[in-house]
Amino acid sequence: MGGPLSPHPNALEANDRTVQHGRLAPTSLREPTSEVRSRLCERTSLQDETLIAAAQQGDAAAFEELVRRHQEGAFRAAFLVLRNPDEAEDAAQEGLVKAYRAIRSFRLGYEFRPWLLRIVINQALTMHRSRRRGAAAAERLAVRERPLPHSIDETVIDRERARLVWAALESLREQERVVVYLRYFLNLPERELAEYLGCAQGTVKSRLHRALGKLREVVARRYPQLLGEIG
Amino acid sequence: MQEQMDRLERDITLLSHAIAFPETPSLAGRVRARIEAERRLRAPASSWQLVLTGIAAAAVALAFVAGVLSPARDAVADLFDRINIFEATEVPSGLTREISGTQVTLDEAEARLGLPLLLPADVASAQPDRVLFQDFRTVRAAVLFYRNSDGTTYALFETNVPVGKGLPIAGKGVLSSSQAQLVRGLGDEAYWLTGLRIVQYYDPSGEVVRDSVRATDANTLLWSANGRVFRIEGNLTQEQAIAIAKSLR
Repeated sequence: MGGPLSPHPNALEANDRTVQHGRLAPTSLREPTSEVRSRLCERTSLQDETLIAAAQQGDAAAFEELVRRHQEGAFRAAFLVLRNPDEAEDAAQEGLVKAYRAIRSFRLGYEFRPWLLRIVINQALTMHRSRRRGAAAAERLAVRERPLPHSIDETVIDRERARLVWAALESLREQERVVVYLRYFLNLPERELAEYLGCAQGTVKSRLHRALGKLREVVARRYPQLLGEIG
Repeated sequence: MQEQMDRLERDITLLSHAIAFPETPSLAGRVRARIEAERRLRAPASSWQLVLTGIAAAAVALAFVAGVLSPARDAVADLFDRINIFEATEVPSGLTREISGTQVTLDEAEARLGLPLLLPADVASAQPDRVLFQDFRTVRAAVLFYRNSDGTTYALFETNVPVGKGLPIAGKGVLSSSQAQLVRGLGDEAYWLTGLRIVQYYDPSGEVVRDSVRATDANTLLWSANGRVFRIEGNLTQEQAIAIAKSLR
């Protein structure tokens, strides 16, 4: 199904303390002029890449603008993993700070959003594992069975069906779950998903297919009513 | 099976469209503050942050509250567990540089402080030009003003500020131009401070005592000895100040 993971220049390990350092980007991109730097706070129309280059030179204002642009995706990604808004806020904030610490390792020319999301999601997963380790078995079960925490538009999907799908997703393994979240809930295009996963773009489909296959197994075992209607 | 997979994929897509995410919190400012705080804590060797790394706790920007300066909880570090250091971006215009207090005699100052006053051993300069007594409720201080024969002047502060764990009772607002240097071989713990700073005291509830707030750019030797905190402020060199401090009897 899915191909082997290929090394990715902007890849971070599950624990983002380990950063793979790529080659230096062209000087012209890494060293914005002082005039550009002075206008960074005002020029929200600047490209991400210009802001990243400034942040790599230690410009905190430039990174602040990057966070402003990407904080919704970061928070939502953390929320999908943790399913708790307060914990998601903590994870997103911590992940974004870690991203700044690692910003020099980012290679200009690649997609920034998958790189950033990887760090935030790793932070959320770490918190999630920690929470699970510390929880009693009954509490773990409760986490799996946690109802939908926020409102659902029931004109789109039946509430009970939504609850079961939500619970089934939580039963997937981490990386399978994350792939589904990124593709379907955060709408990452295949190109960005490939960068997140560190695989070729053509491999993304097979990774998604594999994740859905696992989900079908979970559903068949634990929530057969979801498949029952199909027969 | 493919039909089941397609149905699941459709369900996931519908769920993703139907779910209402919680409102995204504003993280940009907080992340920026964290970054700046970490940067300050890694600042060059001459800065406050590095000098005080061992005791630095957290950093926050200065907040002016009703005309007074940030309270104790904003400390980036503390000295003697009782004097907190916070960061100031500027000195409020009009902030006095005068040392306030009630003019008293040396004996009166000692009586009101409730502690024996120590005087420089140099007999010629042992008697101060004048003495002020400061009473900021939590903090009391006898301030002895001296003028050396070479024209240098300084003020010796002898306080009842105790050393050790407890509520902070004094604070120093440091600006980017402020410098601190650990001094070895004087008392239990000593620092040499230069550059523009803000000095203030706190009442028992932790609020700033308004009358105590002032600015100073005088060279300052701050040290603790025998459970008490002392300070010499003036146009002295570090060596001169240390010599005076060591001569106190």
